Amino acid sequence: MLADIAMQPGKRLQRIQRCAKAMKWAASACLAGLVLLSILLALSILFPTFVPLIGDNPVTVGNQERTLSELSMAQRGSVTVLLIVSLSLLMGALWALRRLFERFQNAEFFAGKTLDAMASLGFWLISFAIFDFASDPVSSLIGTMDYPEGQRVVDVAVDGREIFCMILGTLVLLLGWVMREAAVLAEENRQIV
Amino acid sequence: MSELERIDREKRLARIRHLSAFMKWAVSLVLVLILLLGGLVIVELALPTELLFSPDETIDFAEVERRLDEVPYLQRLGIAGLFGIAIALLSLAVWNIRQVFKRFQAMEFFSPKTLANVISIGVWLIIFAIFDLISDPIGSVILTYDFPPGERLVEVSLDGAEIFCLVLGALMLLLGWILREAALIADENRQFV
Repeated sequence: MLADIAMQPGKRLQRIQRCAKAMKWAASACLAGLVLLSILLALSILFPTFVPLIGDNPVTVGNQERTLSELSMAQRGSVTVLLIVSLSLLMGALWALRRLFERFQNAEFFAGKTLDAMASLGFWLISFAIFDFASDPVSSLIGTMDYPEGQRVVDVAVDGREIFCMILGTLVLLLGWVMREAAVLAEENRQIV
Repeated sequence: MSELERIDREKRLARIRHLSAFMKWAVSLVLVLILLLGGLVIVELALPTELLFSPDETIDFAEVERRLDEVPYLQRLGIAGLFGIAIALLSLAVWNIRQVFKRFQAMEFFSPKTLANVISIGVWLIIFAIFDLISDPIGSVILTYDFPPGERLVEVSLDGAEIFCLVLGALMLLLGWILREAALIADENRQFV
């Protein structure tokens, strides 16, 4: 920590910019990977015989395991929609993250757009967590819709991933607000000089 | 600063304080739950008898899955050790998140301790992600160590959670560095006034 402070301001800035640049590319790669994976997953759920990514292996719906071919096309379609929405929220978060790293790379730490990107990253993460939580009971209901009434399953679950996204989303949102105060200070500073 | 701006800023600061206070408690609760559940699992794994789990529960690392009662005791201890390290790393990250919320609640946005906490969140998240990554091959070897030499398994896998922790860890590290620049500005400001 102390050794860090002793670094020249220019060097510290360079380190931030270099790291931001690397992370911008990493975030872009993740985004591209996620888009590709989403398309493949959606196709393999809709047409399990043509795109054998999952094949006819059992998928877990709620607490039950069923094979994809047991489900009707309508059920598979609805599950795909849920999946696409959920992955889109994650893509939104990744895109905001990429924009944020890009701003940092340009050393625009306290610009309005940077703070917007931070706030939107927080919102995307929180929405993903909430949607993920809400989609558990819905997807288990869809997956057991062809059962007779009374045997359908509505499964509610909170898992670590949702809690983690929620906490980190809020943290990023708060950091965005705190950085806005920092921006106001920097502006005042400029006026004094 | 005009009166209107001052009132506006007061409102923003109050919002930061309230959300931080709430999140401090929420994260403390999550931390207690992690330690409690983690502790229970470790005790269960480290005790030779089954207290809480039924003997046909399985443990899996990456793609290797075995029934709990088939795994020799020493190997169970090894797995308990791995799990303990993972829980410790996660708890350290969560503890630092709690501390950041606590400091934001006290309006210590740019104090060196706050910045140290933000940087620590990043460092622990990255270490957790790397440990999670290497614990798959180590865990699968420990789990299958009693198999004859040719049949032991080394599984390597990279999942979304690890990438997520890595990317967000890097973001926290960068934000910590940037907030430090903000702190230096705030400090200069104070010297002017």
